[in-house]
Amino acid sequence: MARWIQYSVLIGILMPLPLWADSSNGVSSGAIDAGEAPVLDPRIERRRVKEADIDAENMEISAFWGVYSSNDFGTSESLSLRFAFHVSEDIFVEAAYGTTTLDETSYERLTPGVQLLTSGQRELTHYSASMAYNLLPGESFLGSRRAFNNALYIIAGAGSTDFAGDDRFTINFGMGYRLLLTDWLSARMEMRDYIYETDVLGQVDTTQNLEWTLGLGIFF
Amino acid sequence: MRQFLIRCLVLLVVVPMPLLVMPQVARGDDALRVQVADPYIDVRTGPGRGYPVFHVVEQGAFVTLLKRRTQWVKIRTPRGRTGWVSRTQLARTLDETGDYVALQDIDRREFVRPWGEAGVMVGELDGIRSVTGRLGLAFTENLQFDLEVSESSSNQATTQLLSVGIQHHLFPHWRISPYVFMGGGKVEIEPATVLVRPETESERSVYAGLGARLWLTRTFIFRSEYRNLVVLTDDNDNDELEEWRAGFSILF
Repeated sequence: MARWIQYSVLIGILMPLPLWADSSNGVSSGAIDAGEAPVLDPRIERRRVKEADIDAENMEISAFWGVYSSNDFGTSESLSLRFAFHVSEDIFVEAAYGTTTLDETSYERLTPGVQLLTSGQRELTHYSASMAYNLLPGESFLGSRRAFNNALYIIAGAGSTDFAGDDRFTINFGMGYRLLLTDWLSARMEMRDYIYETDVLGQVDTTQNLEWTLGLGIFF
Repeated sequence: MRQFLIRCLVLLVVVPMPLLVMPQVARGDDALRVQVADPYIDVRTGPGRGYPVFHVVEQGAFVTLLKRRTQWVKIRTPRGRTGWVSRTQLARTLDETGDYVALQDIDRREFVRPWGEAGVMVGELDGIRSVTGRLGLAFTENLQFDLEVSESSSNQATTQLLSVGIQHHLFPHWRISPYVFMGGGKVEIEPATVLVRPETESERSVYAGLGARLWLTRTFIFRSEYRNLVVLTDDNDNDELEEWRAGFSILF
């Protein structure tokens, strides 16, 4: 009987120990290390680990705010939504959709009463598919105690820009910076050049349109 | 108004995302544990070779696998630290059954039958640059059902094509796999607004072509193809268009 009580007390003390050691993040003496054989071997089902069992986080969805500087129609606020797929640690591909409302040309400002485009035609939307290369992966330091993962990347792609009633084939290229605030939350800053031909002002011109954006993304 | 709607949409998409992600982060009851078989494994601060090694886990220790990104796996060490380990090092750890962790082999035979594909292509349709977005559904190793939207714009007109088709892979196990495809759809030609009284033309079309896909990684392919497109007009003669294009796709 005494023996039985002894055993019960012993089990009562030992059983919760691994749980306690686990929750204290191993700050304890480390005697009950997960690597060592447990004192009591509970009957657990041995598990086969397959790669597909590990939750994959290769996609990133992000929302951007920025300023779009159109070749002829001033600078205006822009919004975009992007979806990226990380192929490897170096490469990711991204689909983007963005929108902005164009401003007036200097001619319209200087000549009262002249409107080259209707307000509907000033709504510019663009979409693109691009590919990027993480050029400089590393850490950035905030103070002496905090380090964040980051990467500088170059990006280029093709797509279409729609304004003034027509679509224009657009190529884009640029450079961006991604700061990983946590493993799944990223802050990005990007500068991109959108190049397309337009004849809105009478003759066909190749225009360079720069967009600076700031965004937040989530990996899933 | 449109701006406002887009803002609402962005908020709707982005705001609930952390809620979707959080449960995955917090989950830990059915944790995957593996034992280090090599003398040690390197633990890095981020998923890439550019991030510094800040810790090592020695042989015999158990680590918990949290998640993976590209070719890296996030782990928790016995001492509660978290960091990233490369896939190749993970391949030399043992699971509870005492076997090496079953990583999918980078062998095309294993993943030659993805069930779906999403991709983009850029090319030239009748001398005018075009952009294509495509979705695919593979129903056998050789056959795939395709849905695609293309747009090609010049200063005269914008041509939009919506098509459905089928593609047949002749040798799906090859790293560079050739295929033939055919299909049909709708063509809309919208003349540029600078032209007087633009009127959108809508026609039907049929096409056939051939191409090749190249496996770059397990889930990522490069595709290049040529197609001949016949636009069925009401006039006596049909328009024949040629299109060359290339692009990338993600497989799932």
